[in-house]
Amino acid sequence: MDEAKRKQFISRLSRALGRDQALCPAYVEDFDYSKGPQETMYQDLSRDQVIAMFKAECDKNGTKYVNTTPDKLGETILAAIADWGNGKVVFPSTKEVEEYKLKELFAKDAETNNGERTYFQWDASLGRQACIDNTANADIGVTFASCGIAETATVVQESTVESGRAISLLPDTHIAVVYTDTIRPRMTQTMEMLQERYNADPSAFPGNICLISGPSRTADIELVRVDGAHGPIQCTYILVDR
Amino acid sequence: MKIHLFQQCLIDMFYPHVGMAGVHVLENLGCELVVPKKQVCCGQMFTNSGYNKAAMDAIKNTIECFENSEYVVSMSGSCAFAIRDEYHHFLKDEPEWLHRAEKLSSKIYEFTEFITDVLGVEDVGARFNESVTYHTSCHVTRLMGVKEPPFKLLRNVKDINLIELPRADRCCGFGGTFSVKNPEINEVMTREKALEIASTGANVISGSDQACLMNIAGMLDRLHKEGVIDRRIKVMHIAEILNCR
Amino acid sequence: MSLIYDNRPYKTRIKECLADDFKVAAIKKAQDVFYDKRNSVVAEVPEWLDFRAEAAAIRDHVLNNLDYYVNQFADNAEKAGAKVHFAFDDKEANQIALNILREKEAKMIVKSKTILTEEIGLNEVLEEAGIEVNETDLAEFILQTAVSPPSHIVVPGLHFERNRIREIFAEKLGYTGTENPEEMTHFVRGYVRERFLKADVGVNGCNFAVAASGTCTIVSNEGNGRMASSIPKTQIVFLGTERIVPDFKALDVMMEMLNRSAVGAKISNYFSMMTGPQRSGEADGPEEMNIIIIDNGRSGILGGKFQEMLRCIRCGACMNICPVYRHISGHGYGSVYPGPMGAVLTPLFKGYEVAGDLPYASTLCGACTENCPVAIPLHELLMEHRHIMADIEKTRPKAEEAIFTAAAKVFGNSTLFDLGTKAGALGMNLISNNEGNMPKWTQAVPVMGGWTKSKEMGSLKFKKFRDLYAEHEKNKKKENK
Repeated sequence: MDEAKRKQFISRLSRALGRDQALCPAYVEDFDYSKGPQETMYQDLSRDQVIAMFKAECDKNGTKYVNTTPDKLGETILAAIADWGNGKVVFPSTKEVEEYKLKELFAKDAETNNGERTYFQWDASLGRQACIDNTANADIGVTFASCGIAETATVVQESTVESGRAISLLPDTHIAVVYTDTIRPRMTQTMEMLQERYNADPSAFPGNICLISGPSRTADIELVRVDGAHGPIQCTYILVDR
Repeated sequence: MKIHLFQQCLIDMFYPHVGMAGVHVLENLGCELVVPKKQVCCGQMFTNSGYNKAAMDAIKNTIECFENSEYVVSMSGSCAFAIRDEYHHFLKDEPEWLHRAEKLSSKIYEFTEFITDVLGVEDVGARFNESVTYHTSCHVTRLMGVKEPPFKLLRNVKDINLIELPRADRCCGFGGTFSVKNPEINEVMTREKALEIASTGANVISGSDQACLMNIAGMLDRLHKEGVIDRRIKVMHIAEILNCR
Repeated sequence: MSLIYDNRPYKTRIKECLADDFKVAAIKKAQDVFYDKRNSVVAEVPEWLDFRAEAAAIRDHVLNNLDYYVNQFADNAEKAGAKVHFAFDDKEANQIALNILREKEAKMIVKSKTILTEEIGLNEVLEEAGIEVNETDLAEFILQTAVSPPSHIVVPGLHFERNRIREIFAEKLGYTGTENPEEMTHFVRGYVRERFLKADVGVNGCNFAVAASGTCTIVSNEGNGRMASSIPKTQIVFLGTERIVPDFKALDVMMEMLNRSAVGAKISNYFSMMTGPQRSGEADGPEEMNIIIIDNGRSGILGGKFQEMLRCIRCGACMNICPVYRHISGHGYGSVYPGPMGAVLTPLFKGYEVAGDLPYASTLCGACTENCPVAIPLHELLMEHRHIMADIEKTRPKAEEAIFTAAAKVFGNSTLFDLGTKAGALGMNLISNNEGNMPKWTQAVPVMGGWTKSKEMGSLKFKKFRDLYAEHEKNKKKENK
């Protein structure tokens, strides 16, 4: 950063604000959110009602969802893949993949499915080009969301070494796994969580966090809604009750 | 109850019968009227064009005419809005006048608002056997927040067939001097409004702001003359309807 | 394109827009769709007005401390590994971008939608330098292919109908499909996808920048914002100085207002929060993130009569409801910022000599103010512009000033008014036709002709209300006697 330029730039703002000697203050009182309506909305909803809200919103948006339990997660993912017509699947290297032995499950499936489904595991050590290329020519991307938002049927996707941005972006189909116990009523709770995480350790904060609500979309031609603009054309949320 | 009537210059000049209808309605409700002879114009047509300095004669004249009254009733929502909510802004550099304007601000009411909210009357005993649709003028409805009073009054008029106007909240296109500064845009806006009015099937369009009504009337008459609208739709200030027996 | 893309006289632009039947119909339809959608999603939130007050308060809090928050944002963005640049004006901003692109030896870039880069005219500068610029938002892509300016800030390509788009695609891109919107969208998807994968640099705007963490955010439905910020090795974010929020909690409130106001949706399909470049060991995401913070006239608005305008979050709600925009579309304004927000903002950036007509393109109906999610008193700011032009800078035509000054004397004094209206009544009654209206030839008379060309006008009455009332009072007294 050009410090001299920055100083000039900031002091122009300070001067416009009528600061004494055009000096930028060193401290500003935090904005008080406590009286905002977001603080109390949906507070009386039960867990079941929150999940019901998430599902109702999926229905309204035309986003598919399926319910499952941890022991059936692997087969549910396979069914969701088949549901979208199979093809090449890209999946991450996150702890969930190990926990549910998905790599092994997919390897076994690849041996027996006569090429209906092929798999690529996101492996950052292969390098940028290999990861992006393999994801760009995949049909289906599987990801694990860090949490969900009921009001808007949103899944929160973080980029990590183990799970790149491209998996939920380049393939035509996105399958997102989200634990129902992470679904909270509003964006309010997600933002609170992010603020706390950042405050706890800025250096561990993800470079990219994306709130995803359904497939990519446009209505730029005569306001006609079309699914599948630049990102996924379709998606399925797998809701896991653990 | 003694009230001072703000007649609005447009009604004074072009629509004196509307003013008289207002007088009759208020007198029938037991009001004792005072109509200051010195009054002319609230000044809004000048301030809306940015000529705040030139508007001062009109603004100060209006304050002088009405500041000592108990209640002021305006026959036009737009003027009531200017006096109630805008004067203090234009007078912020003249403390004495500002004080006088603020005093007046708390006493002025739009015609329908005064009847329902101050007099507490919703049925003025009118009878009007016609299909009527209603234009909710922007200044009175949106900016002054007087939404329900005209409808409360109209719903209690006997024999009336009140028809909702689609997109009644959209401006008719008058906008004061906008109508002569931007006549091309005014024309298409007012035309759309006139056609919407015609589409309701109503034979009467009413409102409580004579400026908008003048704009709408000019277009309805022209479209009728050109054969675009099949009937002559009558334009009536709400005071005229409330004055029918 | 730069901020003002059409320098022809205001009236010329207006007449051209009003004569374009497809455009007028398209904008009307879009407004009606947005009106219903926006009202239905706002009706779902009984707390809407509380949210609106909170959003305005957050924006004011930031603006009143903008020096502090820009400073904090820059610190935190740098801590996260981003390179932060400052530009006082459009030229500096473009130069900084050009320097980055040259350093990277970039030949081709992809852009997601950013109106700020249109304000500063980035594309022309880059194209002149031999860099291929690809707009990737579908509407922007259509406009770039057709070489046409935007007519709206959120859905800028509304003035093209599907058949025209098909023709343009066929002529310029060799498209052979039908005019079906889905088919054309998917064609563009494939066409642009290749460029996403090959581009050297991705360019993004920024809806809100989070000071507490140095995060830039993008709202998008198409996913192009994510593409441009995930696939190319280098990222450049263009950030308007005022588009800062204090922290993550503010994003919750701003998103509540933005999505519902802009397109009548609860949320956009994607909301990306980018804090610095890719982390060590990651395989995608930008290796280098540049943020260019741009003043370009904003500090001149800060702290002044028009500061509230800087609350603006570019949602387009004011133009979605404006009855004037409805007929003249964005092209009537000739500025990349159209509608009521543009009519306030454009003269602030470019002065009254260039954009002084825009504040008069409003009936002051207040619909914009009512619809604004951050409660900018837009119609009052339009009046303020008019006041400055008429009374302070005196930039209005002398004839107009003379008419208003003379008329104000008459309307401020009952004696003059009485005399004037009597003379007027005499004249008007003399010339009126047999229906009592002004005759056809008055259409050629200045001012009055503006009215009588399209509408009937009756005569001033010989007996005014004040005369009728005086008679009424006399009669009442008689009765009482």
